[in-house]
Amino acid sequence: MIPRGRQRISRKLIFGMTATGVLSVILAAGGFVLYEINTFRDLLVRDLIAKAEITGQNCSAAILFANKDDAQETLLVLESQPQVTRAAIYDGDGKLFVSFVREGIDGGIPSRQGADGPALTSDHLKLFHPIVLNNNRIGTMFLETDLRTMDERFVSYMSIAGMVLAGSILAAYGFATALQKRITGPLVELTETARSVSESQDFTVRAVKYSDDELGVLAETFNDMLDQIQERDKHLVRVNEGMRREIEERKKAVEVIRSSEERFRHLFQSHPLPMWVYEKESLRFLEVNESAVKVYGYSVAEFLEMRITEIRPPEDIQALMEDLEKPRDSLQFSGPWRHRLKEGTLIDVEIISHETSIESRPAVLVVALDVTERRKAEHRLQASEERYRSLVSASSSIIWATDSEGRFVVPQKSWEQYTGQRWEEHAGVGWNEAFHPDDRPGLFADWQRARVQSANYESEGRLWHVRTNSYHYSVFKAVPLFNPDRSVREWIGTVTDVHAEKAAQEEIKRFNAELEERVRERTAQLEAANQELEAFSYSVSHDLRAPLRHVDGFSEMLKKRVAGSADEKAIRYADVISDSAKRMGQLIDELLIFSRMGRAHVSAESVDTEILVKEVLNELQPETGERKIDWSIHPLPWVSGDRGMLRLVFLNLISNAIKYTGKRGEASIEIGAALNGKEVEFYVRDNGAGFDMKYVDKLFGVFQRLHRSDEFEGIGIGLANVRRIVQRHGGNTWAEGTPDQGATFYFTLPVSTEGGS
Amino acid sequence: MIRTKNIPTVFQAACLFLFIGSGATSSSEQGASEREVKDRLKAAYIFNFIQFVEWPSRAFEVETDPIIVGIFPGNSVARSLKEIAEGESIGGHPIIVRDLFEPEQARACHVVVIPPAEEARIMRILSSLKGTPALTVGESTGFAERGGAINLFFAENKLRFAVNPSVFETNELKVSSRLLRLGIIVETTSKE
Repeated sequence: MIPRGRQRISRKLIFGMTATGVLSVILAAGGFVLYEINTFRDLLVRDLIAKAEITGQNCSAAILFANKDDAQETLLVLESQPQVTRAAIYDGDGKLFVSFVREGIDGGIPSRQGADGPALTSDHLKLFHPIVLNNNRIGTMFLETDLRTMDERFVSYMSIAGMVLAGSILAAYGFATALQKRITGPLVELTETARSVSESQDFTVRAVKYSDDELGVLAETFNDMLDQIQERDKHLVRVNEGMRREIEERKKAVEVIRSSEERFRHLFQSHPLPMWVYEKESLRFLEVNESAVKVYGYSVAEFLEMRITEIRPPEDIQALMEDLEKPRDSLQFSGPWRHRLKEGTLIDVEIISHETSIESRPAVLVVALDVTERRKAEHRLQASEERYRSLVSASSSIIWATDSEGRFVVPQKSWEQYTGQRWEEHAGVGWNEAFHPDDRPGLFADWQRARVQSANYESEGRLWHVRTNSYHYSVFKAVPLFNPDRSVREWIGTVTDVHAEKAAQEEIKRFNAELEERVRERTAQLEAANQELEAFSYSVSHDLRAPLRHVDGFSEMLKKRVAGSADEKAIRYADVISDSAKRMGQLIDELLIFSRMGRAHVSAESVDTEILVKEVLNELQPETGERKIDWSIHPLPWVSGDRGMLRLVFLNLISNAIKYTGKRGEASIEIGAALNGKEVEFYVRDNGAGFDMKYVDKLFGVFQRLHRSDEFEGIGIGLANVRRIVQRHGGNTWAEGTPDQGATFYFTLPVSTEGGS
Repeated sequence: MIRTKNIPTVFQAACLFLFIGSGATSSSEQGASEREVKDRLKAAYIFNFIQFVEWPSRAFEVETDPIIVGIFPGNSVARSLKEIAEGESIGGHPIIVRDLFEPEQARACHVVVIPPAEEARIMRILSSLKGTPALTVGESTGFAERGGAINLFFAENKLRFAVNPSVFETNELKVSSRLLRLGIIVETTSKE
């Protein structure tokens, strides 16, 4: 329908104008009809609601008083409304109360009320409307109307619209035809003229002007244009020739530039150093060479997506931005910077950059030098130097350096501080003057030897110490430093002040000597005292014995004298004196033994304790006499000790056991030993009177008795002796016991290194 | 907002009425005597009458004043009416049901229910209420003709009522035409 380009303007005009007219009529009529239908439907709904309200209200009393006849009558009024097809009233419970269906209408009434409000179907409008009395809903009104009237109205609207449309098409067409003739006539002629000009290339033809409107102006302008074209045509031919020549030259120039650019591009691309160009404003990479790709790990495509900030660690970006702000010369060196490679490693770089422009945008060409290794080396060197420096300053030693001949060639600060020699004094071999004159030859000889052998030098001597104004003992050490040809370049040495150590050593030596002297003196004193004591106790014992013998002898004589007399009391007194004297003698003997044990020399022989015990048992045979004793002697080892003393130990313990089992009908005595490391643990166990463990501490004391002497005879020194002997052998004693259950005495002795097991 | 709370009560009455109308004799099965059923029906009618009557504004001091329904003793409707009407309100007026003992007490009421037991005092009560805006409801034969406003009665086992419009006019009460249409219209016959 739409006319295409080839149709003539006249047809286009007619069609356009007619179509415009028709379209506006269609839109207007359509809008009007839609509006009318909408309004009509709203009206219909409102009308229905009003009817429902009126009828409902009229029925309210009938509903409340359940008067169906009256309600039906009210409902029948609706018959006069031809659109109403169905009507009904529901009571308050929603049940159908009365209904009305117009004749000729199919279908019944809904048996239950539906949701309130209008509902529009294709051909009906239904409405459920509440019946309210005094704010209470007492029932529901149902109304249904058909939409026939609406359809009728729609049809009539459409037919009017159709007629208006037909009329307007005719009118528009007539008007458009008349108008186009006035416009297109001169246009057609102008077109013909233009065609003949273009076909014949004849710029002399001119168009005819018919009117003063736009078309007239068009014809005039067309003629002017032809004049100008005629002029231009001539000019163009001339210019063309010039242009052709110029293009030839350009081509040549471009070729030169292209090859030059290729060379430079090649230079850039294959340059061994990473290079790139970035745009100054956006900081984006514009170009990047192969080396950069290789070093940084990003592909070219990745580079071109990035900004130069992205190859920096984030903490450096601030500094970078500040650096970029600075005004720069054409060629700029900066760095070191840190760059981050794709895999995350940071490298140190120095940057050479150059401002340039690419496609007339400011850009910067960058060459990056990886100085990581150099920086590391620098750091190492610096650290080493620092270590060396702090070592020297922290050291209490003096550090010095000489040339290969042993001459100070630069001032030696630490030397000067120590010796007080000024530079003029210690320069060259002036240092020799600072030594103690007596030590100079020795030191010099050592020094000469080291120099000849190019070997490490070490010597000791006295060096002037300016602060104490005295010579200090010092140790001198030096090592030669060699040139590549193994000749000595210089010596580096130290001086260590050992004066304090030397002095301390002397002091210690003196102290030791003094101490030894003192010990000797004290020992002599002690020995003398011991001898005195021994002599004293011996003489006491001995001297006590003599009067005691007298007491004993005379008491015996007294006993004989009074024996047989009637004075029984006297006899008993004599007995007591005799007994006491004997006991006292015994006591003195024991004391003498005890005191001798403390001093006696302890020999270290191998002793077979099993044999020892048997000897002791033999010895005690008379004491056991008629008694029934169950002996249990286990194998006993060899020990190292004094046989005589050890015999006394066993004698004491076994006789104790015999003594304290005296009241048992069936005595049982057990002797055994167990190896415990380098010690042997002996025990003597009996089932005798035992003792209370709370007195265990008193057991081994001198004159300590746990039982009355009239109960068990004895003087209470035996266990003290045992302890003393065992202690002198380097062993321990202890005991365990329970009253009336027996006792066990333990002692340890070192194992014999030779002999039997 | 439409309140639906009292609808069941009102319609319960209506339903009961239909039940009786269908000639059921088994009301004892419902646990209520026929008399009780009738009372409830009457009470519902009285309550509904109130909804179709308009009192002059002087009958209330303020708009929220109650509508007082007075019932003379010896009337079994009283209990049902209290059940139905108390707690409800019509046109903003709460409804109060009150027992009456003396005819003079009726002057303070908006509705006065006069049982047949008060037959002897009917005329005295009605004449004391003359010109007072009070809706008088009675059950005695010819109650409306004697000057009562509405007369309830049973006919063919259906509860009906007669209305005397002139009494409404005298007492300055307006009655809805919807109510009049349902009742039998009577005129005052006695001239006292």
